[in-house]
Amino acid sequence: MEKEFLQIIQKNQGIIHKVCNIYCDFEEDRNDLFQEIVAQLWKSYPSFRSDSKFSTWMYRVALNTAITSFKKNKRRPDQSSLTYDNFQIAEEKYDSETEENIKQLHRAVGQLTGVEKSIVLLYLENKKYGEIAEITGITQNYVRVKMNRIKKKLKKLMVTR
Amino acid sequence: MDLNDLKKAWDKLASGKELDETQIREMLGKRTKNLIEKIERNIRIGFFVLFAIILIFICNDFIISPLLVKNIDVGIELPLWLQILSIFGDLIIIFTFLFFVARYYKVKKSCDATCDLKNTLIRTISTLNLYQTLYFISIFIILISFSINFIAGVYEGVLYKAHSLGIPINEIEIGNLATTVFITLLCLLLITVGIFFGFRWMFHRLYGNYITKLKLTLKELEEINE
Repeated sequence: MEKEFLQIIQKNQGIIHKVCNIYCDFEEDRNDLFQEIVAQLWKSYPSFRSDSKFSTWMYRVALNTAITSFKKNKRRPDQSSLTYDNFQIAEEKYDSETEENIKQLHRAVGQLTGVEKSIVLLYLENKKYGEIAEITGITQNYVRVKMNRIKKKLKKLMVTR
Repeated sequence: MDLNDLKKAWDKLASGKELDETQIREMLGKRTKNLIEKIERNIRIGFFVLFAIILIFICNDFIISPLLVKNIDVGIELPLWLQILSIFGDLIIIFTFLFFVARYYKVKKSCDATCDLKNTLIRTISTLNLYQTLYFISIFIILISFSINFIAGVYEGVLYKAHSLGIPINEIEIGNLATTVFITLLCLLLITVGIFFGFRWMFHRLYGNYITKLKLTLKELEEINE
């Protein structure tokens, strides 16, 4: 079972990385969260039933872990002095326009609440409202309502920059 | 930049450095328990400690104390009201303990990491509240037991003294005795209240912000569903 689990995680690790990127600003926190999510997935793996998609189950566990994770108060630089280097994406090479867009994305998403982040992440991952509802435990109609509010909020955040 | 650009930026966003199977296995091997798992472990240890304390109290009330009184052999018998008080105190302690254990397993069974977000938040908050309650229950149990044993001890002591001096019980000065009992119980109460508030302060300092954050997230989800 361990072998099978490791293979599935390796194949789908992008999901975990994206959750970590959206919830953590610092490399150290991202690594801690990644480890915690993998551990929770391993713990819950025996109870996974194929009546839901594997990715749905994985998003659910990853987002639950990210939202309920306990962050110790570590000494951190002031948020206002955060540089682009703090982000995981700094390791990659992008053209200047993409780089600017990614920076804006991080700035805007960083100002959302934990629930909003989870909904926007699933929306950006092209998940249908039904699947977002299944993962978050809110109804499909309210996912739609909430998503519209988040879109307005994001537009506002991007305009004010 | 509009939302479409945002989506394009997201699609281009690198997901992070890829880990191979060995690295993921190593990660699992090195993992330590997260906060809620540690708290759950502490609650289970707390069960055993409380259970041991309760056993000691019951042994003291029903085996050790009667034996000691019997060995003194000065004709002192525990009055019925004191025996009833003692049994009543033990029953309260046992029921409080059982209620707590039942609550813990109800919370534990309610959901796991694969639940939806709302139920996961409810479970996490309930586990933290249970952890806090464990300490309050311990204080409550110790206070009840101390109080009953103290009253029994004072009563038996006075009876013994009166018996050894050959004074009838109804001729004992009750005023001084009542003052002593009152002052001692007051001290006990002050210490307990001090421990209670000290612990509450410490708990809020450690987990206060975390619980507030979880409650706000839950509130947000509930507002969405209203």
